[in-house]
Amino acid sequence: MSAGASPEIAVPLAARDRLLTDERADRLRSASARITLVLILIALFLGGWELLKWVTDSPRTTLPHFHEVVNYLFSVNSQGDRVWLDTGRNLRLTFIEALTGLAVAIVAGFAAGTLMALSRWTGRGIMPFVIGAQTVPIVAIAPALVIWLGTGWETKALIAGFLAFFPIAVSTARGIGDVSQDSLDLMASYGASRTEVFFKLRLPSALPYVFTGLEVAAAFSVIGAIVAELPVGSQDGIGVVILTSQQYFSLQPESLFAAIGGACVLGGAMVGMVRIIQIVVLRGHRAQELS
Amino acid sequence: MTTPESSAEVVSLGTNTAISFDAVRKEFGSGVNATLAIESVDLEIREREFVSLIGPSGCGKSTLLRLAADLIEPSGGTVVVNGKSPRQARLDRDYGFIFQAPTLFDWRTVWKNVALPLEIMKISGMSREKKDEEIERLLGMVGLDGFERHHPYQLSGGMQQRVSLARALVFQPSILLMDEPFGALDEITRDRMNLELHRIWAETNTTILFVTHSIPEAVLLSGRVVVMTARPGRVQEIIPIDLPYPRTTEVEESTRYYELVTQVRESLGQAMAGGL
Amino acid sequence: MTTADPVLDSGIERPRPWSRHAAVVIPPLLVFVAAIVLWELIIEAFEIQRFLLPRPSEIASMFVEDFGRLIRQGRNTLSVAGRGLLLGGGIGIALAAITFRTRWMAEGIGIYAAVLKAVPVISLAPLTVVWFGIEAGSKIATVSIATAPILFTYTLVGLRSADANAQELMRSYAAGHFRTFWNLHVPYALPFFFSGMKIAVTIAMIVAIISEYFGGSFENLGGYIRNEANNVHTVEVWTAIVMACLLGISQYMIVAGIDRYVLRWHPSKRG
Repeated sequence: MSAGASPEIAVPLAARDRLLTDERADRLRSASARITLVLILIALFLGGWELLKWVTDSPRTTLPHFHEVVNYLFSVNSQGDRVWLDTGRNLRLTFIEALTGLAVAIVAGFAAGTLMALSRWTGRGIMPFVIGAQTVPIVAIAPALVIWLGTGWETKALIAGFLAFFPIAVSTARGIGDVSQDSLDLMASYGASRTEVFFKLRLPSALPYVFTGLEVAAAFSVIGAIVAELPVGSQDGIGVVILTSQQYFSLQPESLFAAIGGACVLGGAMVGMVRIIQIVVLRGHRAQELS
Repeated sequence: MTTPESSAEVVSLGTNTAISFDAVRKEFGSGVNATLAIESVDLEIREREFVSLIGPSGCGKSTLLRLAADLIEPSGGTVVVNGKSPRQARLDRDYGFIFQAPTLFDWRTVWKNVALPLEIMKISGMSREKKDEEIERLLGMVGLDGFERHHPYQLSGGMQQRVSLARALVFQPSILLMDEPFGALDEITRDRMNLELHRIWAETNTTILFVTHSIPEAVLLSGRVVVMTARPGRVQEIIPIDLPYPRTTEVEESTRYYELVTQVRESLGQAMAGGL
Repeated sequence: MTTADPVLDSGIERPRPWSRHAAVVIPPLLVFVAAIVLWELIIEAFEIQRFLLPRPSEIASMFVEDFGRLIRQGRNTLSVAGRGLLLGGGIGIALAAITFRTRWMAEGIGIYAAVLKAVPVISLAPLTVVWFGIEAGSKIATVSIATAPILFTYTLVGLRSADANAQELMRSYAAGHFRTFWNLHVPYALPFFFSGMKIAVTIAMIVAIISEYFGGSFENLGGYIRNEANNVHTVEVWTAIVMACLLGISQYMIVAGIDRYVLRWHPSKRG
């Protein structure tokens, strides 16, 4: 250790502890500020809902009161089930479909992205199609797949996975490929093997990119699962609930709002889950600005 | 290397004060997290003077410069620029600021980068032809004729910094505030830029406050070198540089130059020892 | 007087050699041909029925035969996607421009944007039908809801990316908010805006088709797909898919082209 570096090192332990606690307090303060902000935003949302209803003088058939939707959730439906229990059951199924699809997409997308980044010709050959395939209207593929593979939940998971695959593949390819020449030269100067370069350099530096793609993929997996539930023949899932409530909308408008609310909560839960994993995994990384 | 035709043999200083710091203090943050960057700094810079600020990293040299530029405000004491508050001086466009990074706008050509301050300031009594003439003259002065239509990414680092110099001079400010302007350049380019800057200073009657890390640079360019202590920054010593003008490569080889470099180095050594 | 740096020569743009264009074009072309051949062979080998997966040759000939109608339907879908993007993108960009200087406001809207991005937009389609009618109105609304958060996020990050020194420079010129915004923040936001647009045009197209699938006229790609899929006319469905892809990819390429042209000055675009 050179003497020049001493000022940093010589910070007394007590002072360092104080700095740490300050940091913790700061984090706590910013966390509580965030929670307050979220609560305000929820209040604004509900206030806006009721204000919109009041200003436009909407009838129940266009926009019911928020509490009417909540009341509906706790009522009993024609099958004698509590509505929220029934909705929850359907949400659980869609969740399983989306999660399975996402898991498959993570494995396949990561593998494909890595391959595209590491093999130049494969990358150049396939990349345009991976980007182009994102423009395929999933609603058109879903019916054919359902006819082909049946109406089981596995088919829907596959469709969810199909949609979630592309963002993961593209962001992985970008992350694995986007390593500075200097870092590569440094690894080469250590005599690192290809495997070591991959695990010690490419993979860690790709993680922030991968997670950005993963967040999009999580949202897409829910969309994929819902779309997959739309074609005729499906019995369960939140997509089916949305379709049925659309049909009975004039009789029971609250049911559509409840179903849509459920789907939104599901989407939020999937993305939130990925975010939490991201925060835990990327603690050491510089904060990603775009998410 | 350069033999400017018009540079003054003896540089005469003005009688007025260009920038003065009086018991200036600057604290960043607040409460337990506050750090004292500079403390009780008194310094007067006269018109037409070339003053360098030198000191260990984190001694608040840049802070001092930013205080004069009204980019930050002092926590205590007063800063006066051209007899006005720094804010008024900024609004009157009394100074040009040059950063360590060239800070050019990538989407503008070299010409349009230099024209930027003129566009913003709408300087009265200056016709379009006059402005064009001025830009052309300055680009010539910094040795960039023929590069008017280039974009910043097509230039080397040294050329980019010369564009930034032309941009600072184009609205003819009476003061130049320079924050390690050549710190990121290689030694050879840096030497050349130093001599050019010195020639421009002699030609244009500007006051220059110059922050640097380099002792030889400070000695070669300045009329006075201000040595600052480590955090919190204070003025350790002000060393007058009695080298002849114009400062050329011959001056750089003189014995007196080496003596002064040694003097600044020793003063800096004391400043760092005092800071620990 | 100093002469020009020799360093400069290496920086001047040269036209790209032909071989580099070829390296970009040939591999995808090979993959495309191989995929088509493989597709035909698989159908041949496993005797896959026509209503499950038609042959590429069949799709191609039907595509040519129906081209006039597909173009007409594609144009209607494109118009919905475009108007939705204009509305949603406009709202997103305006909100970003208004709030980027005020941290708490930008953060508050940012949370809404994050929630909207997580929301499965298609679930909103039935509701927009109730509010804005079964025809174009509801579809435009759905597309706007999907695209607004994307452009908000990208524009906001872009506006905030303005170099700190450059901001100080503008301050030292005593430049007003408006001038600083146009001369500094907007150019910094442009690359981010284009990245957002590349994503948003594709999303707009997909969401337009999905919301058309939920009802309304058959004179658009989504309606056509719904109709033909119900009748198990798989070849027709595939021609619509091809048309949708072609439109989506060409929009993406147009945005990418404008991006390259407008941002010629950007260091990342050189050479």
